[in-house]
Amino acid sequence: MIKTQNLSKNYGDLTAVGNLNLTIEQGDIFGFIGPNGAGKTTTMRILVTLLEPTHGTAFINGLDVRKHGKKVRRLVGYMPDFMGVYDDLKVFEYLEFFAAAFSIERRKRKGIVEGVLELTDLQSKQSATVDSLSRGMQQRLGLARVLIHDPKVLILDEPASGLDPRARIEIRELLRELKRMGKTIMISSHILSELEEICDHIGIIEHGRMVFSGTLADIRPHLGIQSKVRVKVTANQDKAVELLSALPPIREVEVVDDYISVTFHEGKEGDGLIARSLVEAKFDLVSLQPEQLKLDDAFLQLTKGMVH
Amino acid sequence: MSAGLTDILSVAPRLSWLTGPIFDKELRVSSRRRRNYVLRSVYVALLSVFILYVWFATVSFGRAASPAVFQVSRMARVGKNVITAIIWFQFVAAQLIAIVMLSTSISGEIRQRTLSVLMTTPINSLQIVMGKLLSQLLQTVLLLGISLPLLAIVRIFGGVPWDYVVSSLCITLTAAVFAGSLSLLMSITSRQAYTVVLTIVTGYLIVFGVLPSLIGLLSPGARGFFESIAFQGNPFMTMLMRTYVMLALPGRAGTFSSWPLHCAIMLGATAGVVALAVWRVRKIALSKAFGGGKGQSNPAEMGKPASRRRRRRAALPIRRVDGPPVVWKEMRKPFSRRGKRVIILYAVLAGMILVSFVPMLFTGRGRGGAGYALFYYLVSGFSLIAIVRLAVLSAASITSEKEASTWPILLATPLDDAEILRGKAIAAFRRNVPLLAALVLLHIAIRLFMRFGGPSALYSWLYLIPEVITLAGTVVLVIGLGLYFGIRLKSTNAAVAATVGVYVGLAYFCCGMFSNLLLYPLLLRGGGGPGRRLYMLVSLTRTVFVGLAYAGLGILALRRARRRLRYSVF
Ligand SMILES: Nc1ncnc2c1ncn2[C@@H]1O[C@H](COP(=O)(O)OP(=O)(O)OP(=O)(O)O)[C@@H](O)[C@H]1O
Ligand SMILES: [Mg+2]
Repeated sequence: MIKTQNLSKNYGDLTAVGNLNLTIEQGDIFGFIGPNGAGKTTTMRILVTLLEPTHGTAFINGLDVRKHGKKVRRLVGYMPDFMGVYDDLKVFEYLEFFAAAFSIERRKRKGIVEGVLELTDLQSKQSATVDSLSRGMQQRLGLARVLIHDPKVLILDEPASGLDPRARIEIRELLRELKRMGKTIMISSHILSELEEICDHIGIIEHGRMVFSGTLADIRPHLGIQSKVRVKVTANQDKAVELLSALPPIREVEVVDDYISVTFHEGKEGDGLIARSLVEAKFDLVSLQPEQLKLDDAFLQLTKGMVH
Repeated sequence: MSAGLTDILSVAPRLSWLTGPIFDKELRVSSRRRRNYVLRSVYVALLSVFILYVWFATVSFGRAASPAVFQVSRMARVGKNVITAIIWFQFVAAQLIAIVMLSTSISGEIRQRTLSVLMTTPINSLQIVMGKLLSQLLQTVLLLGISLPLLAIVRIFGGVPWDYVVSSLCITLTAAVFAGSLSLLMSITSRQAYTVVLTIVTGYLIVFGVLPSLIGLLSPGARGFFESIAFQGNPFMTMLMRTYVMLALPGRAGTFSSWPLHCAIMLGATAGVVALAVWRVRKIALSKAFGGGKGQSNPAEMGKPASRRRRRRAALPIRRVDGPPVVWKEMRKPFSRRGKRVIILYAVLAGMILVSFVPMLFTGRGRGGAGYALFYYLVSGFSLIAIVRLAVLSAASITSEKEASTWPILLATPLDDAEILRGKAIAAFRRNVPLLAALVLLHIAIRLFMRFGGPSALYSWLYLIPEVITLAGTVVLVIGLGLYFGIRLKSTNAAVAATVGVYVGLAYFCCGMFSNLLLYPLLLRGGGGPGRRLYMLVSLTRTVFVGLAYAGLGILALRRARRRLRYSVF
């Protein structure tokens, strides 16, 4: 659905995006992460035809963004990182204006606007002026605007920034709902735990170059990270450690605080084995919990933390 | 220039109780600004063009009029004319520059949210105001310094008394100081520079232009007395009197005018304005720092309790979008952000026009010079307002979207580039229709009330056609330029300044001055009869041609704008 080929954008000497190749399948939610100044916003701007790439091309639904600007704009809903609002308009008028800009017929507009207002939970605000909304409300209004022409592709640049936890959860729900409707979503965010929950694929970009692209599951072998399990027993922790150390697939066992952290050899999993062994040896197994690979950790390992 | 600045910087600490660190900061910043270099070059360029024009006009006019006598008194006459030209140019330029330089002095601090930060430091509001005022005025004075050597050179031609030069410099300085302080005061409540500039210029036109003419028109008996009072606080009239005296023209008998007294009055008025500014700055800064609440985040709402305006707008009904969306959205904007005040301003203007027509109706004729002068001020005032408003509406319709970062969103819609531009142009025109109509009416009114007799009556009505054509051409040109600069530049102020600047340059220097130079000999050679008719015909065609040329340039600018639309979105 979205595809870039050696996409580059230079600002003078600075390479904001360099030879970026990325593919996003239809119906995916693609999380785009990277440190500040990595080139996320630049890439998104090129995809929505607001910037000309220096080299390379990008396609949306098979359409070259450089050649078919207008068609691409019809397909895409874009929410920029700094979203402005027309402060003279009311919420309803604002949305209807964009409906008209996407040449939706006048008699259909009312229904559509009311639909997106409902979807984003803004019905009560429809006659408020746009600039009287709080930051989070404006963000939701931005999302409502993106949805107004029922785009196939959504490109959202940090849509959750400035939102309270509740609104974030709501946005997450909304994105899931949109995915169910078959939309392709590209989303950038600095809140990684959030992306973790909704994204099928992630791309990590640094200095304009893709350092990783794939599913969350792919990232583990990519980084050479082994799976870990946390084990908790009521008594005889030392003996349990002894027992577990002897098991073949297990590489390392250590005691952290009040639990035992077990690391497997690469590519092996053995939650069942641990449970069985412990129970057979009459340990009181309280909990057995796979340790999540945090996207944060992956992010820290993959990017060098240099901001340019 | 930079050496001069550092010298001044080293003196500055002694004044620091008055100006504080603000002065220092301003000087450092402004010496880095590109704007000041542009300003200096433009000033020098305009001054040179202006002097050359006066020179050639005097020479060619003189030669054509009386070739024999000409040689004798030539140099002194040229000298006097050039000096007068320089001094008047300086006089007008200094005030304009002071107004422009200070037009964002406080609003800029408020917009960058540094004012309340400043107020939390030991800097007091007097220091803020004086620091801003003095640093910008210093820039203005430095600019004036450029033309001083010229004055010295031209004096070689002789015939110009020193006291004229000195007194006019004093009048210029005090006028600039006053205008600057007024601009600073207005920048406390006005967000945009052009609002400040336009309001002050309009106010000047009314107070210093229309009012004196009205006084002259309405009170013929006590004219000398009223005029003396009205003129004493009027820098333009004081300057005019000095010039009359220098050129040994008859001037106005019975009108008292003393330039030292005038300068003292202007300084006193400045002190009053500064005091008011200090008081208001403190008030606003405090309300920003403590009274604000969360709604204050929007710089559009500066200087006023935000909630009242919001409540008023929230009460309006929802309007459905009709027709082309871009036009609809532009038309939806309020007539002006400070609605009532602007409407009052226009009401005052309209009232003055009415008042000025009444005596002419009763006496049958506009009283010669005063009547013409009044109409002249009215027409030029109205044209200026209409043109600047048109420039603002067209340029700001794009730059304000850039400033509010809605521009990328609009460009991400499938609206065509041409559709967007067309919508903005149509809306700018439609929002300006009342003023343009008033302008056309004024042109008609002049003819009705002036009651020219004989062949010039026909001619004056005939001339209405090219005038309207020129006006239409001007509208196309200004909209074209406005949209073009709106697309090329980032800030509304810069785009408006560029639009008005280019328009004035074109209109005044290219079309006005040089075609006048070509027309002079024609006018003089003819005398009366067929020659005069030829002159009229030529000037008529010229006006039509100018109108068409404007329209052509405007369309060209629109096409360029369309091509550049997506070049610098961010
Ligand atoms: N108009 C511009 N002119 C010059 N350089 C620019 C411009 N826009 C962006 N850049 C540079 O391009 C690089 C990439 O910027 P970009 O905005 O794409 O980063 P980002 O990944 O979105 O960062 P953030 O997480 O902070 O939003 C940065 O180094 C930035 O300084
Ligand atoms: Mg960004």
